[in-house]
Amino acid sequence: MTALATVRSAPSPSTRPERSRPPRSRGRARRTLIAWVFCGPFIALFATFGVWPVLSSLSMSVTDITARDIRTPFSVNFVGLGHYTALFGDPNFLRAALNTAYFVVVGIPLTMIVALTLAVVGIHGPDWLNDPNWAMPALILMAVWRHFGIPMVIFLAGLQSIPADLLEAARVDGATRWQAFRSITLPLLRPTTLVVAVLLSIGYLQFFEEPFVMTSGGPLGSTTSISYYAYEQFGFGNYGTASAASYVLVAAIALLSFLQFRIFRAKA
Amino acid sequence: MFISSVAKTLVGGMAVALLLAGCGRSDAPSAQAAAGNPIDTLAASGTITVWAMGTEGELLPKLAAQFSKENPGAKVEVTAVPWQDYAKKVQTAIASGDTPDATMVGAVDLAAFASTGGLEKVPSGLVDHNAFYPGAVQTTTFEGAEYGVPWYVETRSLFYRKDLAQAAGVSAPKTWDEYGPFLKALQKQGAKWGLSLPTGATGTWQGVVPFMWQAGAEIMSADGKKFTFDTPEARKGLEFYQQFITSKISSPNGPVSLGEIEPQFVAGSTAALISGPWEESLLKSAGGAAFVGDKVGIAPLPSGPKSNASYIGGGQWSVFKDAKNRDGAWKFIRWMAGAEVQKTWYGVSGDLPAVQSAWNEGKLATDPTLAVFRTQLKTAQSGPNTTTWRQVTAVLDAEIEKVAKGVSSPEAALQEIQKRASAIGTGE
Amino acid sequence: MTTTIANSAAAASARSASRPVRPARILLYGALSLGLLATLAPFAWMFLGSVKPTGEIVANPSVWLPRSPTLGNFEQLLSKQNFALYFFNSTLVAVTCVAGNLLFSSMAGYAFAKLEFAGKRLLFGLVLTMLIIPGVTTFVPLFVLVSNLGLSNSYLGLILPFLVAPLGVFLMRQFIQDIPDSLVEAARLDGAGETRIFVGVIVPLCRPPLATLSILIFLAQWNNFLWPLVIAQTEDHYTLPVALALFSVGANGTNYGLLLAGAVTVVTPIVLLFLALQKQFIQGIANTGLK
Repeated sequence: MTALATVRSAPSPSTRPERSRPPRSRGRARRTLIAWVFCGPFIALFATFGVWPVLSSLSMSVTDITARDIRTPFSVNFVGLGHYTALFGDPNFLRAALNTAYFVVVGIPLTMIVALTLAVVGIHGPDWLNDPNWAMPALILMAVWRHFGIPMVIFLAGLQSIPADLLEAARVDGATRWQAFRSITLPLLRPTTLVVAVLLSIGYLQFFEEPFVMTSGGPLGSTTSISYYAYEQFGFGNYGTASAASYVLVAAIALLSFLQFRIFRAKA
Repeated sequence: MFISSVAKTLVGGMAVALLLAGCGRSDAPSAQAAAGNPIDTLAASGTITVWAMGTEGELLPKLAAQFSKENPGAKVEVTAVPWQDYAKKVQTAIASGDTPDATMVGAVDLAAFASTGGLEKVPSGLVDHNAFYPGAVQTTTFEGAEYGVPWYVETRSLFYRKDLAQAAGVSAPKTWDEYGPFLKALQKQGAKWGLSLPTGATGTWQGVVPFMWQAGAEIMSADGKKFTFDTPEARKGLEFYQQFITSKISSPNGPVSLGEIEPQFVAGSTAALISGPWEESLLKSAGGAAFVGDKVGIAPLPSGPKSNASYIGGGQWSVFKDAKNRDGAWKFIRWMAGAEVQKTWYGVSGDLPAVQSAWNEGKLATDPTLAVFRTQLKTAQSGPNTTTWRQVTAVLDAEIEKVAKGVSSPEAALQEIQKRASAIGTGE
Repeated sequence: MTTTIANSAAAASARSASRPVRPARILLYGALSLGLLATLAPFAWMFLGSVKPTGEIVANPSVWLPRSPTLGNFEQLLSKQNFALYFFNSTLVAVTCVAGNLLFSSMAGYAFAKLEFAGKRLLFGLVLTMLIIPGVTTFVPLFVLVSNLGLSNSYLGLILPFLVAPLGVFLMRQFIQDIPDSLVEAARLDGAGETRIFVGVIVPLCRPPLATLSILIFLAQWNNFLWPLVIAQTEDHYTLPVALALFSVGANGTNYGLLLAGAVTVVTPIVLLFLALQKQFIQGIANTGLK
C-alpha cells in the first residue's frame, strides 16, 4: 500500500476569533442526531478499517509476535516496552533514525528553498547511487524534485495574498528587492511557511518510496529510513519490532509538528 | 486540545491490548502436525487452485491443460502472481486462512512459510527424493521435515567471449589457478574487464558464497543451530573474490539491474560473466543469434580446493494446510514431478528439470550449453534453509560490498558477518 | 502549474510594461527554464525509455535518445490477455473511492466544521492521529479483518477500506470551517434543514477542495500496489500496478522496457485528470493551507 500522497494540510492555527456556540434549546438534540448521520458512514468505515487495525498493531508492538504466530495471535508473550527499548539499542534502527533525521533536516529546508526560488541544481558528477556519501543527497534531490511542486503552489498563493502596496512602499523608501523580501515578504509568509513545514515534516519523516525504489536502503545502509526499516522487519516476520518502529515514527512526527507550531506561532 | 483526548483513548486501547496479550506463549514448542494421509493413485478430481509467480505463472495453464486431459474430473485454476512482494501475499493469506490449494515457492522462501505452520508436510511416499538434484532437495526441508517438492532448478556457470579466448590461445579454466591468467589473457585482447562480479546489489551473496563453498567452507553447523562464517575456508573464498577486484580483473562497481551487463559483453568491454540458463536469450536480444553462436562460450565454474560448487535456485511446490482440495493438489504436484512432464515443462518454459532422469533424452541430453549446466548441477548448493536466512543475506550483501569497495578486509568482514548472523540466529 | 507561472509572469510583466527588460529578469527566466527542464526530465526519460529496447534503457553510461526506437514494449503490454480488464479494475476502484470520498468526506467534514455533537473533539483527534501512522503498520491486521469479513477477492474488498479517507475528512473540515457561519445561520433562519444547507449552501462553495480531494484520492488508489496484490486471489481482480509488476518483474531481474511502457500507460490518465481540474486544484490547496 503506497503511503497516501504526502500532501497534507496542517491543522489550522485559529487566528480567527472563537466561533460562537450554537443556540441551545430546541433542535440541539435533533442536530446532534443529524451530525451523527452526517458522520455515520465515515465513522463506521473509519472504526472498522482505520481504528481497529491500529489497535491491533499497537498491541503487536508490545508482544513478541512474529510471522510464525500469525495463526495463533493470542499465544504470544507480553513484552511491555521491550521492543521499544531494544530498538534504541539496535545499530540499524539508530542508523535509520539518523538517516531519517538527515533527510528531514536537509530535505525540508532545501525543498522549501527550491520551491521558493524555483531553481534546481544540475546533476553530474559522482556515481550517485553507488557511493555511500552521495546516495542520500541523491535521494534528497529526488525527493525535492518530487515534492517541491505542491509547496510551490502554496507559496505562490501565499505570495499573492501579500499586498503589493506594502512592497511598493518599501521600494519607494529605498529598500532593495532583497531587503523588501527579507523584511516584509518572509515574515508575512510565516503562516504559509508553517503549513509547508508541517506538511513536509509528516511526509519526509515517513520517507519510504525513494529508498524502496532506488537503493533498497543501501549502499551500506546509508539510505535506510525508519519506514524502510519497519518494512524490512515486516518482511523478516518480526511483526512486534516492526510495529514498535512505526510507532516511534508516529511519536517523532507528533513531536516535530508540535514544535513547529510553537516556533511559528510564537513569532506571528 | 485534541491531544489529551487522543492520549486517553490510546491508554484505554493499551489496556485492552494488555488484556488480550494476557494469554502467554505456551512453553512447549509449537507441535508441527504429522504428515497427512498418503495420496492414493486414483485420478484427481475437483477444482485445484494454485498460485505461480512470474513467467511460470503465465505459462503453467498450458501444462495444467494436459493434466486435465489425463484427469478428466479435475480442473487446475492457475493465478499468476507477481514476484514482487509475493511473500507478503502468501503470509497474509496464511494469516487469514484464506489460501489456495497450492503455491509455487521460491528457493529461499520455504523456511519462512513453513515456520508459520501454514504449509502441509509432504505426504510420505509421494515422491522419491533421490530422483531430484541434491541441491534442490536441500531447499525443501525445514526442521527435518519436507514441505515442498522440487519443480525446476537453475544454476550459474561461466559465460565468456570464446572468440577472444581463441585469439589469446587459452581455453576455459578448470581450476582456481587457471582462472586469473585466463581472464587476464582475455583482457589483453582488448576487454576492459575480465569478469563481471556482483559487488553489493541484492543477491550478491549468490555470486560470492560459491567461492567459499569451492574453498571447502560450511556456512552452517551440521546440527543447523548456528552459522559458521568465520572459518579459514570461508576467508580463502572471500579473499579469492577480492583479488579479482584488486588485480583489476573485475570492476568494484558491479551490475545492478538485469540486462545491464549484456551490452558490455557484446561490445567486448567485459569478457566474461557468471549467469544462469536465462542468459542465452538475454545475449540473443543484446547481440543477435549469430553473436551467440560464434562468440559465446560456456564452461562449468573452475574448481577451488574442494569443488566447483555453484549456487542452485529454482522453484518448488507446497500445499497449504487450509487447502480445500488437498488430494487434488498433491496429485497435480506428483504429476509435475514425473520425468516426462518435467521434459514437457522444459519445452514450454525453458526451466531446467529438477528431476535428474528427465535429462536423459532429447535436447536436454544433446545441447552443449545444457550439458554444462547439467555438470554444474551435480555440485550446486543452496543457502541454509532457515527462517532467518533472508535477513542474513542482507548482512552478507552489505559486508561483501564493503570488501568489494575496499572499505573492509575479508577477515574483518567475515568476523562482522559471523557476529551479526549469530545475533540474528538460525531460528532454532 | 506551468500556466500559473506564465500567468503571474505575464501579469508581472504587464504591470512593469513601462520598465526596460532588466538582466535580473533574464536571469530569472533562465533559472525558471532550467527548473522546468529539470522537473520534466524524469518524465521525458520515462516516455523516451518506453520506446527503447531494454539494453538501451539500462545502458551505463546512459543513453537519452533511443538509437533504435521500437513500439515493441507497448505491443507486448497491450497484447497481454487481460490488459483491458486490469485497466477497468483500476478505473473502477479509483473512481468509486473518489466518489465515496467526495460524498462521505464532505458530509463528515461538514459535521466536524459546523455542527456540535458529543465526542467531536476526540473523534477528530483520532482522525488527525490516523494521518501520521504509516500504512505499513496496519497492513496485516487490516487484511486479516477484511478476509474474515469475507471480502477478499472482491471489488468491495478493494474499495471499502479506502472509501473514506481521514485525509479527506480533514481537508473538507478545514475548508468548510472557513465558510462564514453567517451563511449557514442565514439558511437556518430561512428554515432550511441541515441536508438542504449542506447541498444548497456548502457543497457549491466546495469545488476547489473537492477537486483537490478527487486528485489526491484518485492518485492514491490508482497507484496502490500492495493492497490489490494481497486482496486479489484470482487475476481478474488485479489492478494495473499489480499486473505491471507481474509482467515486468522477473525472478532474476526487471524488464525495464515493459515497465516504462506500463508507467506511461499508468501516468497518462492522471496527467489528463490534473489538467482538467487544474484551476480548481491550485485554488483548493491555497485555500485550505492559508488560513
